[in-house]
Amino acid sequence: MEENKYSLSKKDINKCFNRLYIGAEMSNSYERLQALVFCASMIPALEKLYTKKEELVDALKRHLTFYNTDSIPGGLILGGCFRNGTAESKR
Amino acid sequence: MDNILLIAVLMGVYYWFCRLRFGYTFSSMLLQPVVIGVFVGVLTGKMSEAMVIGAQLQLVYLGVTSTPGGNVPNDPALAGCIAIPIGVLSGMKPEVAIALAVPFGVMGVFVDQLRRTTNTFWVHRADKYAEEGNTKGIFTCAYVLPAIAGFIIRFPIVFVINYFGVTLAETILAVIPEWLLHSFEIMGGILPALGFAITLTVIGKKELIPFFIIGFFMVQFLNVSVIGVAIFAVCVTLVMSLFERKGEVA
Repeated sequence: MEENKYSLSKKDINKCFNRLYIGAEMSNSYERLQALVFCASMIPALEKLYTKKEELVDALKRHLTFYNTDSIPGGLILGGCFRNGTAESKR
Repeated sequence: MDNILLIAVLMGVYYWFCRLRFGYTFSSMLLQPVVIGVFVGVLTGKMSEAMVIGAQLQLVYLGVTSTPGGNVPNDPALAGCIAIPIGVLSGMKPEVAIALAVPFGVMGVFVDQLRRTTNTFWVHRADKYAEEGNTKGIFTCAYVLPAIAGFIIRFPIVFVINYFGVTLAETILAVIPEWLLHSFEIMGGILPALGFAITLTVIGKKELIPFFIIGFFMVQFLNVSVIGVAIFAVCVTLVMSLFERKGEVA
């Protein structure tokens, strides 16, 4: 993984968390549970971290795999994903 | 008649909104029967009747928590959105309204399963958008489309049942014999006790039984109201946690 020169501001992080908090159960489906909302709430961070188009597509696909949690401690999981910076996929 | 149309529409919208789970803690509060009772009370202008039915219905669903994965064993919101307005408008006794509510609570589970099955479409659509790197499209799939689909699934059920249910309930109540109505009342009276029993199996531990007995007999012998007992209980909990923390430091 290459070093990325972009870091996330507090505003981005709050934006991601609010998206997760508001929509956690809205798009809950039997096939992948909360994967969709997880991907959607990671978008502000992903757009900052992956500037190249192929990388962004890759990251979006990776974050759509499978995910489920209670959304209040779920903020911790989001934080862990940011911490990883170049974000390997979290399940 | 005009009034019933308006109430039916608003109840449908309310059910859609509270089951949308827009915001996590906030919507969990909205879908409790007590809160629905307040909303119905404001709409119909019969606050006390609506609150009585709502509070008794709340006791039935007190022990209902969603199991892991978010599957609900029973839907208090659908039961409340249908039984409370019908019960208030047709002048039922609260116990009868509760007996009416329970089948709708079970029906709510199927509605939820239907919604989650339709949500699968949006995930596949999001897959396609991810392939194109279309972040706006994924956002729409996650928030806007489930909301619209939820409205199409949820609104008609509550609207139709409320709109036709009030007159239907009135005619049925006029025809139904006294003994049958009374047996419904008894069934409805048992259900809150069942709710309590479910809650006790969830939170009941052997060590905690003294607290249960203290609370119960405080109400019985000292004639303290339930709110009074709740205030004492909060204080006792705070004092206990205070001592526990001191113990950890030392």
